[in-house]
Amino acid sequence: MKIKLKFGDATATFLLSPTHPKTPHYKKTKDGDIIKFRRMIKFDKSLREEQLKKDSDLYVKLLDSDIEYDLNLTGKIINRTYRIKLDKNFKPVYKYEKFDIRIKPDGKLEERKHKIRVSNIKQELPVVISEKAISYPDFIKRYVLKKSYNIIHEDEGNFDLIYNLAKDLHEKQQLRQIFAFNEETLKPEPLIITHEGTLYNLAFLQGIVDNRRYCLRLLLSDMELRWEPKI
Amino acid sequence: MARKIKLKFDESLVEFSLRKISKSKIYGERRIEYRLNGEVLENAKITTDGMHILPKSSIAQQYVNERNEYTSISEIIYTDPDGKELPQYESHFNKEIMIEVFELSNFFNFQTDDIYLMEVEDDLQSSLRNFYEKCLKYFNEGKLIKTTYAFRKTPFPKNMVFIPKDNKIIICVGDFRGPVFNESKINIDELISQLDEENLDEELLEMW
Repeated sequence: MKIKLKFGDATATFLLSPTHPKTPHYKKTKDGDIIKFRRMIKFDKSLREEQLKKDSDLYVKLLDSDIEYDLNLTGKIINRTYRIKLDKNFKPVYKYEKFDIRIKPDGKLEERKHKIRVSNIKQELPVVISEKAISYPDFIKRYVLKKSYNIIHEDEGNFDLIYNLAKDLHEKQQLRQIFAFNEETLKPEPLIITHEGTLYNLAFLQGIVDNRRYCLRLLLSDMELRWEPKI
Repeated sequence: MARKIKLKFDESLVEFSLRKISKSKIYGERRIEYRLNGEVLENAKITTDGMHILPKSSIAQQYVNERNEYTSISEIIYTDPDGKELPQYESHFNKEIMIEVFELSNFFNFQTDDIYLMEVEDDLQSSLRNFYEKCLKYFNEGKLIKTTYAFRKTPFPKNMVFIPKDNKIIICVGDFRGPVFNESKINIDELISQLDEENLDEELLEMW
């Protein structure tokens, strides 16, 4: 992944790498057999259809019914599957409309036509590093650090640019807020790292330097550090 | 009340449970609905050979060995890529856990998976208050408290970080990873110093 950042007058593209990749490991038995996590079929739509025909007291009817699992099918190991949509008759539907449904905390329901979340970190308009800064304790008390990435220089010519930024942040012990812009409205919008990915409303940069080495991190948050009232 | 965790600090013991803080309860919930002529469609899967349409909850997942035989989780040994067995950490419910103090700047090595509110029984409120004051004292000194989080026996335990806020303690559960430093592979200053060499023009003009 790449991010296009604007530093003062300069604009440069950098690599993004997750700070918390999964720990590589294997699963084995005591005898040395390799263990795999496999998916198996329990039943397919034919059985589901029979179950759903009984529209009321489904649970009771299922218990009393003589519906049987297809023993030739149950337990069949499957590898890859594709996502599809089914109508009420269990027929695949290929052309459909997508809607975003939002349920507010007060229970109100809102809906709109689905708006595609397009990644906005490597578009024509760069992500801007603002002058807005926050101290370490302030960030910890206010926001939840949900995801972070290392920002790495790709082009040797950008090394000084990124090193100096990390050094400045390290010396001031501050985090600098960054903003992405919507290319149509030209207004700031939450950072979207991947296509149809999470909206990160708050994004900051943190820098650490050690001699001529740097670590510049993109810190992402999608919620404040607070709790809902106990009901 | 949920299962309790026993946390030891100084000579005191605080017994607490975790109440999950859900983002959807604070900000609301968002989901995508698929419709055809007003009818809401159901998500399903189809196998690559197109033979089976698999509606919701029609797929089971299981650990199997090389002969595709069921293997219980308790029989599994976790190893690193070199084949060395990874140690297992006991669940935090089965023992008293100890606190560890770390510098506030190291908090940014952390990534949060879940957040919880620390809760104690009504008669143990004083122990919570003592712990809150301790957390706050460390926080004002630029430090935070953490401990190991292992819901069940696991080779990959997480961490709990205690954040004091408005007389409550918020627990962030997640993972710490140290910073990864990057450096320049080429010393540009050294390259620039070469430009001052006298015979540079001759070298550049030399045709090979």
